[in-house]
Amino acid sequence: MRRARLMAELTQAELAAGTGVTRQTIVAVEAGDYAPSVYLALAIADRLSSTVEELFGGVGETIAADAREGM
Amino acid sequence: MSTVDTSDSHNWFVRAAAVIGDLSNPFYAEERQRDVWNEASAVALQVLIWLQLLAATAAVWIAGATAVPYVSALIGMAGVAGWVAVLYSWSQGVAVQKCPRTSWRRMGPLLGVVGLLAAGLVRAELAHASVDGWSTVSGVATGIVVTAALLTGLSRYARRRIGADSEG
Repeated sequence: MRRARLMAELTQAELAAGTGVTRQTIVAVEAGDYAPSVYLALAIADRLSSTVEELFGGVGETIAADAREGM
Repeated sequence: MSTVDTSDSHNWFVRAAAVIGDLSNPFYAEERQRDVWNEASAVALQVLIWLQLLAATAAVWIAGATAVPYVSALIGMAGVAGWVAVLYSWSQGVAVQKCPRTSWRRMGPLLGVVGLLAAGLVRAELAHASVDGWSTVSGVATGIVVTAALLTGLSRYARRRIGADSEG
C-alpha cells in the first residue's frame, strides 16, 4: 500500500484526510499492524485509484490460510 | 462507520448501554481508535475485576466478619460489571461463552484468588457463627442460592429475548 500511496504522490496525512481516518491509522495499516475494515479498504483503494485486491490481496490470503489452519 | 447502530436498536438494553457508554461519540467513528479503545476497555475491565477481588480477599482475611458486607458489595459490583459486558455481547449476537479455548494459565491464578476469597468468607462466617449462632451463615447460603437462581433466570431470559430480536 505504501508503494501505491507514493506512486499517487500522497502523504500519509493527505491519504488519512481523504479517507476520514487519522494518520496513525494509515501508518498502522502500512506497517501491517492493523487490518482495515472493508469500508476503509475500499476508501483507500478509491483514493489511490487502485483495487482492494491489489493493495491487500496478500493480506487476505494470509488471513484465510491462518483461519484454515485454526479450524 | 460504527460497528453497530446502537441508537436505533429495538433492544432497550442496547439503547441504554449506548447512552451509558457514550457510544454515539464521534470518537468511535474512526475505526482504529474504536478498536484500540475497545481493547483498552477490555484490559481496564480485567484490571478492575482483579483489583476488586484482591481487595475483597485482603479485607475478609484482615478484618474478618466486619468486612463481609463491604466484601459482598465489592463482589456484587464486579459481578454486575462483568454481567453487563456479557449481556451486551449477547445482545449483539456475540456468544462469549463459546470461547474456543480456556487458558488455564490465566484461569489458574483467578481460581486461586476466588478460592482464597471463599475460604476467607467461610472462615469469617464460621467465627461469626460461634458468637451469633448459625442465622448469618444460613442467610449467606440463602443469598448465594437466590443470587445464582436470579442470574440463571436472567441469563435464560436475556438469551431468549436476544434470539427473538435477531429473528424478528
